Amino acid sequence: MAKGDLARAGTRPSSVAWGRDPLGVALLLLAILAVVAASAMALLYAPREATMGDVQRIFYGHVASAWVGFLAFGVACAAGIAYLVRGARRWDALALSSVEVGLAFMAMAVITGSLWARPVWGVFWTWEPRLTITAVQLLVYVAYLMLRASLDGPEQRARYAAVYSVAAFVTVPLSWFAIRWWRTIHPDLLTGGGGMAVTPAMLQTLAASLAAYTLLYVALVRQRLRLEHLQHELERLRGEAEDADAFASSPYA
Amino acid sequence: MSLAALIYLVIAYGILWVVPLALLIVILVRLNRVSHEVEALRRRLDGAPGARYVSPDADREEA
Repeated sequence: MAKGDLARAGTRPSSVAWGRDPLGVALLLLAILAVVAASAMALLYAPREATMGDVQRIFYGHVASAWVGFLAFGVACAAGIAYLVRGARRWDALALSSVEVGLAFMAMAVITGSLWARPVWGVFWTWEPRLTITAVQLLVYVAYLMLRASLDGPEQRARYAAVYSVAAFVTVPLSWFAIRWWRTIHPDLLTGGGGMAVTPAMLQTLAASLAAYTLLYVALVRQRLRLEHLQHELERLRGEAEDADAFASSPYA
Repeated sequence: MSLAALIYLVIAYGILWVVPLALLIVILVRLNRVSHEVEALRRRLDGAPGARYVSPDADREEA
């Protein structure tokens, strides 16, 4: 369908797309408020860390965004398995939405990690196990998007992407356990490694950050899913319009 | 907290605010554009001769 046809087909629709999803808008507003509150806690409420000083406050946003990245890739893996079992396109849409949002959060974790590393380690980046695996993980999930873009048929694209998302998930436990399996300078909160003294106020701030960024992930994936469903609808209508055009130009019209 | 540390933290947290915000804006702009295209196509199909002949299940699918 030509652009001109679309322009002639009508004027402005009655309402914009996201205005029709009050729950999604409410979720977004709640997530934004939660992220602002969590950031305020990190900057104002959490105590100054004894060894690293104020720069350690980056930790709360860094860990929360990395957690959301792991969660997003886990959801993509589960959705990939669900697609392979059930064959419903909504699982493929969920996997794609989750990977896109997860990539943004993992990129945020890498950038904030570099900003935290510079004053503490003296360098923005070092090829230690956790950082190296995270860099590989980012490339693996960028390749997921490239794989999808390179395949034409929706069924084939969804099937290949589902298998790939399940295989790509191996990078998550690999990254998680990298700081336990190999010698690394990366801090480990759970085992108390990395020379960081953790107080209850720090744990409360971390919990608030984890909850806020998880909520933001849910709100973003919801909007991204709505976009994916609308794009499927657009593809279907375009096919219908082509059929209608073919019928109109036939002798039966 | 020193001014240098404050600026450094604002940059770090600025990234944590700006990246999701940029992602959200991109999604909403695309959502709006695709929604307009869907609405325009629906209106065009409703007025097109033979549209419902070609796809008699369209109403059921939409429902």
